[in-house]
Amino acid sequence: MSVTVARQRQSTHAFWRRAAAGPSPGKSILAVLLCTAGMLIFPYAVSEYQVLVAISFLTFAIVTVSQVLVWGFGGILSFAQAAFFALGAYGYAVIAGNLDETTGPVIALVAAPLVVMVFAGFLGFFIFYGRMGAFLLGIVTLSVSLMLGAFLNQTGDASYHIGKVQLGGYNGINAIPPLLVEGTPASTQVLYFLTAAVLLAGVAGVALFRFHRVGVGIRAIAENPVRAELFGYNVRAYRLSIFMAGAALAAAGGEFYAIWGSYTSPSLVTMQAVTLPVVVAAVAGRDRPIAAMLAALVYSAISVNLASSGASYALIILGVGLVVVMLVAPGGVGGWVAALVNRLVIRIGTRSAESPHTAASQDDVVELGSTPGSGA
Amino acid sequence: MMATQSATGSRGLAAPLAVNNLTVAFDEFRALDDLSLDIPAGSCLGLIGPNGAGKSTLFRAILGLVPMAAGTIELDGQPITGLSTTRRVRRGIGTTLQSGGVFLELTVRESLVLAARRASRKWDIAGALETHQLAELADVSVTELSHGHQQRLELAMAEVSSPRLLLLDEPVAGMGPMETQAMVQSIQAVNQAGPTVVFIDHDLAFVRALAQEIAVMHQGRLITQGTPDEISADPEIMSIYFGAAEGHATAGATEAAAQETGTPQ
Repeated sequence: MSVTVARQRQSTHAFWRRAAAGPSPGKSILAVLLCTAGMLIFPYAVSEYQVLVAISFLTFAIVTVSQVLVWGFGGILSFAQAAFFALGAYGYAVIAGNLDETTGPVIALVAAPLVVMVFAGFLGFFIFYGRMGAFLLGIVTLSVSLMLGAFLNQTGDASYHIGKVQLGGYNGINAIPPLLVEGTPASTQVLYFLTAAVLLAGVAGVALFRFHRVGVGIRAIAENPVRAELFGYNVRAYRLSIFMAGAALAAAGGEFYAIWGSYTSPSLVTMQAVTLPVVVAAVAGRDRPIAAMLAALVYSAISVNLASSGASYALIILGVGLVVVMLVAPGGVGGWVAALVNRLVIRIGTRSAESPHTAASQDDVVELGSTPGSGA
Repeated sequence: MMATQSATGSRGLAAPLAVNNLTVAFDEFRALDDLSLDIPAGSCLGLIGPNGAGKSTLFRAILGLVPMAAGTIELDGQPITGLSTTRRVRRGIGTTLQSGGVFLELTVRESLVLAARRASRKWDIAGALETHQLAELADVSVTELSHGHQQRLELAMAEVSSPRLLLLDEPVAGMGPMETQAMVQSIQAVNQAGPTVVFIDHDLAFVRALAQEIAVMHQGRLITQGTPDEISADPEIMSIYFGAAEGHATAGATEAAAQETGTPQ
């Protein structure tokens, strides 16, 4: 009987260790559900103005999550996510602006990410099939992004137009058609929920993708592409696919940004804008989509609050944060917090197993083969 | 002295390998020099030779990881010389590496799922975990495994990738006697159930215990190929393998290896 109790305790310890071990689909779903609950409650807890401001935070979180997909899981240090975000915004503006105001925005919403995905496919083909190394890849994506910004900046002349939409140079495109719901522009709340839905779908997709067999292949390729090739994986095709998927997700963020502000401009592809998703993902933990989403939201909130008080220290705070995180927890804040929670779960779980109701005598433990004195 | 092992044609998975006049050169240095080797389907061949003999280069050439200066390679009678690494692997070549052969950021189960994904047959992952005594470690991160468990996992990954030819590069390097013995049994089981096996190792006792035939390489060339007894009985080969200066120690080493593996002298 007492032997049974000791075995039960061992089994309980093992249960809590398993529960705390590493990422799992169950934990990811639970975390996404908690975030969903928070985002559902948010609009009812704050003013409409704060909801409006939060929509832009959500769009930045979308591009940060796309960074996690491409960099954290795919191992591709891409500085092009902000460029894809900007192209999504411009794509939506151009497509919606050339079609009728009722169906145009809906068609643009679907078509813009697809167009950006094709562009990413074209760029990625030369990168991956040209067997470009990781270092060059970063340089090339950074250069392409900055060249895009430079190009958009000099499109002020009237000759730069696509259909009837002027690209607008430094000022960008204004008066972008809104999404219509029953003939009227979508309300702040509707736009908030739509953007939040895209973000949460992206986060859930990326978080669960790591457990799917294709995601496992992508992670293996990121760690050791030659070894993955020796298991028959077409490394270049996999990398190109993940690069294109990340571009589409970033573009989805960009089009909601365009709808939110009714404008888009080359300021989306400045050096600062291009590096920001990379830095935020690094601080959060580059393979942790939920942490990256939360970090993007927190950074945006700090940035806006500091800006409204006249200070622009957000980037400095982020920079200092990055240095500290890289020194203390190179895996990012997300990994550090997860490790803390895991330790806590094991401690609470094993403590409950060692409570007086379940504790076995020392003899029982000895009987099970433990060293005398080291048991209960 | 040459290979006499008949092909086990009844085993659908196994494929014969033929290497013809293979030369691999790095600038002026010939890592493989006009090397020819026939490996019958279903056999288990040990590849030995001193460091720098070209054993690992031969594996890399078979896998398409190094450019060939001359020669051809045929798997199951079909030339694979012009194929990419991915296509060669998909034709049925599996491998384990000297180091870095497992993915540290995956779990044990994920590793097997990864390896089995492109396999020509469906695998019961839970069954494979049981067979390779990894069931209790299924959800453990590979980075937490001991060296021996990592080697065992890599063999399991190679098996579930359903190769017709399995190349093992020093599968017991760094293992203790018990783990080595267990690995001999595991590789024999894999070989009997399916692929042709070619392995490289420096541990002669291990090679004798496992190989049906041994091929000896030296300076990029195939010196000879024969049964373990034939190879062990050849003082010239042992001299090349252990070095001329250690020729006196050779006989003792061979005897010790034979005693350890129970092979008659």
